[in-house]
Amino acid sequence: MLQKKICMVGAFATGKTSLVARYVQGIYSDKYQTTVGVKIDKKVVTVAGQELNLILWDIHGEDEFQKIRMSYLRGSAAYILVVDGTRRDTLGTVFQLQAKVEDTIGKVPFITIFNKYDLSQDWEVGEEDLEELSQRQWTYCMGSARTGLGVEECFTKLAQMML
Amino acid sequence: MSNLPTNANQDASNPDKPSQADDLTKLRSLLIGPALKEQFENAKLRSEDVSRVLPEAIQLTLKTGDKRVSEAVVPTVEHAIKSSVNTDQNILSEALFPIMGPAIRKAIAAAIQNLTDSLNQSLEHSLSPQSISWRFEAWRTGKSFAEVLLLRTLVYQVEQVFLIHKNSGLVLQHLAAETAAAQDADLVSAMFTAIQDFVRDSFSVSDDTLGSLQVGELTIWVNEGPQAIIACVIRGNPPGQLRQTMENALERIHLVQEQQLHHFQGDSSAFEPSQPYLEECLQSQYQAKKKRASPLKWIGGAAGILLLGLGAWGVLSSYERHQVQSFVDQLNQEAGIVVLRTEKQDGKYAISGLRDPLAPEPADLMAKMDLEPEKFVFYWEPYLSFDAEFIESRVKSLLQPPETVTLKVDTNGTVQASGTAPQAWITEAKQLALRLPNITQFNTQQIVPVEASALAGIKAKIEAQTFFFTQNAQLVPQQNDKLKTLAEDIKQLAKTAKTINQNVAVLVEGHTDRSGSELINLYVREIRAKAIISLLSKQGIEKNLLQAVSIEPSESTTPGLVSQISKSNRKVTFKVIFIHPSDAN
Repeated sequence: MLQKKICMVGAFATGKTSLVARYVQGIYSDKYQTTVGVKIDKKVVTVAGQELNLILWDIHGEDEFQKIRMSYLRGSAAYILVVDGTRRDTLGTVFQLQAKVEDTIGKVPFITIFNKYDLSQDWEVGEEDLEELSQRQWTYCMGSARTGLGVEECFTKLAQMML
Repeated sequence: MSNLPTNANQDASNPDKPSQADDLTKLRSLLIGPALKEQFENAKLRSEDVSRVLPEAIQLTLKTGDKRVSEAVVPTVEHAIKSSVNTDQNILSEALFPIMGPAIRKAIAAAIQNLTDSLNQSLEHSLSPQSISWRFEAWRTGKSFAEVLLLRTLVYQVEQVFLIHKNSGLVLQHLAAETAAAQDADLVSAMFTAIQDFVRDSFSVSDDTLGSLQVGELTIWVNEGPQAIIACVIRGNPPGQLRQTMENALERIHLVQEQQLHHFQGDSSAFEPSQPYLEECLQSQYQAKKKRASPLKWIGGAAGILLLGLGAWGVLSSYERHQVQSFVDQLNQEAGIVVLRTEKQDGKYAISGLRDPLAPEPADLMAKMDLEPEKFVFYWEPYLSFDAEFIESRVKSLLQPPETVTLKVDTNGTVQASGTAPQAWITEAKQLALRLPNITQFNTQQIVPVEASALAGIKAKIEAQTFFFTQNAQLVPQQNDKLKTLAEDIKQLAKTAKTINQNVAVLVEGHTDRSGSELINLYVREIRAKAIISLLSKQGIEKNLLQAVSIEPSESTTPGLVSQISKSNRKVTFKVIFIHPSDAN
């Protein structure tokens, strides 16, 4: 089975941890994230008959108090950018983060997940934002950690991009 | 430099040429013509010429002992190394890595030799009974006293070895000792790399790696190469020699698998050839342990004690030794017990090792073998054995299944539950079981909630009830007891259904015969059903649980039996229906 290191990055409280929580196997508690700044889980996906063992590095979200430790990104085969669809400013954070990540580890596949898609009444991301993503040629998908909608598909899509 | 003059000489020295004037013209054109000029002025041509003779020329000067060339290239070489280091340190360090390790080790070995010598001297005069026995052992085995001292005070086991890809933190290979309880190696390896990064970032030590970690009895030793890391998880006090074994393994792996390390894309199967090197880190420690526990030690030790005459307590009869050895063998055969060490301590046999709390009591075994308990002391470290039998009893003791449940654990770690049990137990057991190590699944397909089977029983009881009416829609008297029983049953039904979140309703079916007009009959049927509902609600049954239904009499009535059928059809019967939550409306 092939192993791949995947990093999850995004602004603080965009739901990175909840996004993976119900789809992965892990042995570490969430405490690691706030102490060491990263929590590691794994997920096995099958793409085109090939089993992939994704080692997910769920990195503590960036906020005014804590910057992301870029050294955690080293050796990643791909990464996931998480945007909170109900807080448009988290998309801006993701644009900045993506540039930093690419500076650190170079060009590798990545996918942007708009989380909290179930909260349609608070949805702040608009057509023009998605248009901008398309112009940047970014792959994105909608998901909801709460209902589980779209999450599995996002992982599968990213796995396909890596093969 | 080479071609032209040679050609000119050949031509000039050839006497067979027809005219000397021709030769001269030729020579002139060669000397002052464009070819020779081109040869001198074109840098590329000149370089090509020089390159043809340069290697030979250098060899020649070295042979003659001329040092000028060596001296001339020193600054260039120095400069080249300097700029190589400035551009990328890794290239040079990778090139030097295989030879630097042995060189450094040699130097360190010499330093340690000095240390051992001085330790020897300082211990020379210490005199304790223990040191005397060690001294005897040193004399017997031909080792230095300090060596024996170090060996005897070390007890350890390498439990796990990780080979980790330095850049990504992905695990390339993982080995675990049979007795070790290993967690998911993929996750541990990545988290370990994260902690390395964390320490490096937090304390600004850019290139150094975290060499060792110590947590209680566990030590983690880390050796880092240019592409990969070896980490050993060790219980006890590891000897310095283990570091060397690790370093050797790391160097060999870098040498043999350099290509795979450079182009690693996540396929760890390419690193199977590394296993023998990693096994050395595990196995050599096993041998040391076995050797310590071997009977030879006992015989040798006893002989030493006898010879030194240190006390009568040391005299062991061969019978006793045999008894102890077979007891230890017996212990080792028990599931959940691993004896690691047996030794004599203050006249008693001290047996130490690992024991699962569920394993049989050594005292019971001792009684069976007729051994005196006061001659033994046990030092057990608790551990979890993954023996199928233990996993099963661990599951049973945690889940406390009712007697009606059978639990089986298969080799994949799936718990198969069958039989009947309260729903509350099933829900709780499902969550609890997965918290146990080595349990991956809790299969409840074969288990029926007690409430569900109880419901079926009550349903049958209720549906067996019938209340008869007179022609005038009056209830036939003396059915009061029946009514009370029915009310109790319906209450029980509602209560049980609630515990398993099952919606339930009781249809109260009014019947009539076919005599009279259908309109009146319909009215009578409803009256009968409602009469029963009203009686039941007086018994404390909630009305919304009950529903009146009118049942039309069937077509087939046998002639001649009309009056009998008519009578038996003046009745109310019951039907219990279970409603799926989504059809509740």
